Amino acid sequence: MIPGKPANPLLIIFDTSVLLQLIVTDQLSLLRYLKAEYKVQSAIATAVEAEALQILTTIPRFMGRQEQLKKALSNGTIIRLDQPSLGELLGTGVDALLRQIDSEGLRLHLRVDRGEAYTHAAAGVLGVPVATNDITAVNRLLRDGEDLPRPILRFWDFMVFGHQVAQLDGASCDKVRQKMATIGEGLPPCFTGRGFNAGLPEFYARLVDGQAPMIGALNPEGQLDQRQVLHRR
Amino acid sequence: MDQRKQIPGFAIPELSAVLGISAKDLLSRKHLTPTDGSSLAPAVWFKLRDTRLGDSDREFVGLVRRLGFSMAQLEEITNTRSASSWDAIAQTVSSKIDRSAPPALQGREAASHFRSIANLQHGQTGIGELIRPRLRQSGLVVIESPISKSSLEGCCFEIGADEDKRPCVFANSFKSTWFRRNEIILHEVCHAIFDLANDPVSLDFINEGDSPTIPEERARAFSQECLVPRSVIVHYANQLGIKWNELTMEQLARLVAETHAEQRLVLRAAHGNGMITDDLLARYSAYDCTAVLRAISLHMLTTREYMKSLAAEMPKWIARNRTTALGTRRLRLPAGYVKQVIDATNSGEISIGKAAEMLMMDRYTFLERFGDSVMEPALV
Repeated sequence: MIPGKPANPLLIIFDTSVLLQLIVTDQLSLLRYLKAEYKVQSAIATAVEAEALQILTTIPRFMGRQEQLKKALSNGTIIRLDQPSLGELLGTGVDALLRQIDSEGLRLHLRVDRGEAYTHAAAGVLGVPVATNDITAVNRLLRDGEDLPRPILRFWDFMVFGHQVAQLDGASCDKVRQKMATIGEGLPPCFTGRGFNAGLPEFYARLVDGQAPMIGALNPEGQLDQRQVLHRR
Repeated sequence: MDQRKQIPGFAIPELSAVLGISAKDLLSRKHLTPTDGSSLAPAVWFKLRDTRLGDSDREFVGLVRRLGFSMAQLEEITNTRSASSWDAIAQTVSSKIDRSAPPALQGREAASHFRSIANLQHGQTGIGELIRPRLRQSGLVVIESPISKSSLEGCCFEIGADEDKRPCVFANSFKSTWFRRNEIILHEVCHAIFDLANDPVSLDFINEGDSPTIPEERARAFSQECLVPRSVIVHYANQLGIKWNELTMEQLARLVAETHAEQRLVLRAAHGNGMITDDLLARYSAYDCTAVLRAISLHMLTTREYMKSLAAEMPKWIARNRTTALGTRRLRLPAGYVKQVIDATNSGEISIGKAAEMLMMDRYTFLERFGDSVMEPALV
């Protein structure tokens, strides 16, 4: 670690919604970039893996892309939150953490679905950010007084981050925007019915690179608009 | 260490409820092989090995038990546990019956108590439209869904985890009428009251004939007495001006429409109450009332036709979209349950993903079907 720089989170834990959108828009390379440049590992709960694979084999808009997920899991772009993967990353004490995640996941599963429950449980236990688009699950858990680690990252935070660090140009981001609209995936209001470059000044990015020039809205709009600043390692 | 994969923790509670195996046993790495060759299958699944059942039947039971798991969760979330009410009803009815009496008499007496306790007394009129809501209010799970490749007509079994077990009665709606299913459901209710404690599953097959067992005899008498007690049949006979030895096809169709019991049961009740002779029973049984009945009762419509007739005044999802699937098996979910799930979503008690999970579908299918009824998920 470079002295003086705040630590990046060890992991970002993905819910099914963001994971599927990264897959359907062919943007898993951004997760490889996060790992290579920032040492931030992407991870999913086993419940999310099961749900995502089921959707990738049955829902027309995602169908036929299950190999992308399998490949990302086999080459380490994404890891499962299980004993071997976490053991390698965190060393000893993983069994106790996994038991805690299981127990928290079981508790949260009463109000939110399995994938959401185990994703938020893992994020809470490990103290790392979550990537999810599902406001109903977040609201449900916040209403119950659950302490969800912030920021809560959305799919578009990764796109905008990719744009900020010059991994995606404006045209590529707009292609993603069009693809999302075509397949009926929800878009943030600022990108609805207008191009990526036009909407960007209104989007408050929650995932940013600390050294690259800032883009998007300068001021947060909602209570969940908190930033995760990453530094290259 | 053996090569078996461990069951992921997130699947344990659900698997435990569906299979009827404790979480501890599911997680055990020991091989539980009895030395005397006996089976370790949970009682419910042991019974479901019946050779008259096919894979579709067993898968269906698994699907319904999965539904029971979600129903119990929903009740916990919404604080509307009602299973205890059923236990009280069943215990009260059961305790009033002399088990040494003839089974048919047991069934009739039980029906009389049950009509009163379960709030099914409705003047002297048919109770077909009350059966399902009243049973569900008391905590019983009632499922009607088509299983095409099955000879199963009805069954009754327990669903839910250890601390929240409740009976589920099922009627196969494939090529069946609403009138017929009223009888099937009540027949299974009788099994739920008397037999479930000792027998984990009660199975009734199409064209099974008169099985001379005490539970079957009692259940037959129970369903008849619940639907068409003497007072109800006398009431309609008077109202329609029926002369029993000159009963017309139209009058018989009217009797069926009013009592909410199928033709065979109405005639059996009339015969049992001494209103018609053996000869008249045979003659009237040959009447084909279908066309007349279709003209005078909405309940003679097929489920699809009936739902279509209601579609103008009810949300679209009630008529459609209630069929869910697990693997290749399909199940029509009870409308009341679907509504409860949608209400819980709209009141913020559960997330959209959870609602989808409770209806046994993915969130994309859920939003496609019920997007108009629930608040669209905004981005975080």
